[in-house]
Amino acid sequence: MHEQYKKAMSGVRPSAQCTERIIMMTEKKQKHLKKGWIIAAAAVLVLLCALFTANAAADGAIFNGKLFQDLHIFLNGEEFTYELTGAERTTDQDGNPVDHYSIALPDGKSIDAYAAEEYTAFAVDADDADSIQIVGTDEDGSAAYAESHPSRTTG
Amino acid sequence: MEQTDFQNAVDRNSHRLFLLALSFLQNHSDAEDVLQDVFLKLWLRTAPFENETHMDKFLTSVCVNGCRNLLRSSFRKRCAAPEEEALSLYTFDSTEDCDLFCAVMALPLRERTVVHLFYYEDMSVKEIAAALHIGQSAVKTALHRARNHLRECLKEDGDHA
Repeated sequence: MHEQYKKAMSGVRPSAQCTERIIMMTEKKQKHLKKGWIIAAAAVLVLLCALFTANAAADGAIFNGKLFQDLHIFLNGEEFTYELTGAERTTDQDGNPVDHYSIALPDGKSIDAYAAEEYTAFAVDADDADSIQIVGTDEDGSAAYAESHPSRTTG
Repeated sequence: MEQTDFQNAVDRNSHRLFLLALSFLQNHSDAEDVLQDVFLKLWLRTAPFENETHMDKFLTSVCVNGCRNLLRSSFRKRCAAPEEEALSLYTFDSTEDCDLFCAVMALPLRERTVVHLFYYEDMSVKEIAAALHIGQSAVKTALHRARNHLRECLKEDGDHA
C-alpha cells in the first residue's frame, strides 16, 4: 500500500508557477534587503552631508570689534581665556600698526587674530565645535564685546 | 539562510508539503498558498537547523499548523469546496492511481491526513499523533476507518469499471 500510494501521489505536484513564486519570493526579499541597504546608505550619506554642513557652519567664528585685552573663547561650553600679549606687530598698507596673534587651542584648534588701533578682529578655527562664543574685554576690563556665532560676523 | 540552501530545501520538500497541504485542504490553490507561506517562514527563520531532519520536521509542523489555521478561517468555511477540476493539473500513470488519489481526497479530514502521513511520509502512529496533536488511539482508529473506506470506495470503482 505504501508504494502504491506514493506512486499515485507522484504526479500530484504544485504547479511550476508556484515553485517559481517561492523562489522569486526570496529574490524579492533579497532585493528588499538590497534596497534596504541602499536606503540605509543614502540615509548615512544624507546624515554625513548634514554633519558636514553643520561643521561647515561651525567651522570657525569671526569676531570684529573694538580693541580688547582678554579673549574668552567658549567652545562647546568650555571656556578658554587668553591675554592677548606677544603679538607680532606689522603695518597695514596705510602704514597703521596691526598686531597679529596666533593662539593654539586644545585639540588642534587655533585662533588667528589681529588688532589695529580702533579695530580688532580674529577668527577661531574650530571645525569640530558645536558652538563657539567669543567674548572680548576692553582695556579697562569692564566692557565686554561678546558674541560671535559660527560663521557669522559681528561687530 | 543562503539562497542555495533554501533552493535545496524547496526541491526536497515542496512536493511532500504540497501533498500534505492538499490532504488537509482538498484544494489545489489553497495548498499552494500554504506551501508558499511555509517556505516564507523558512526563509524568514533566523535560527539554524541542527540537520535536514530537523528542518523537515519544522516544515511539516509549519505546514500542518498553516492548514489548520486556514481550515479554521471563516472565509474558507464559506467559500472553499473540494476541487474536481484540479485533477486535470495532475498526471497519473493509471486510472488506479487516479482512483486512489480521489478516494483518499474523499475521506474525512482526519482520515485523509492520517493516511497521507502514514503511507506517504512513512510516519509512525506515535509521530502522527504528535504532528496532529491527537492521541495515538485516535490515529489508529482513523487509520482503520480510512482503510475500510478506501477498500469500499476502490471496490466500488472497480465494480463500476
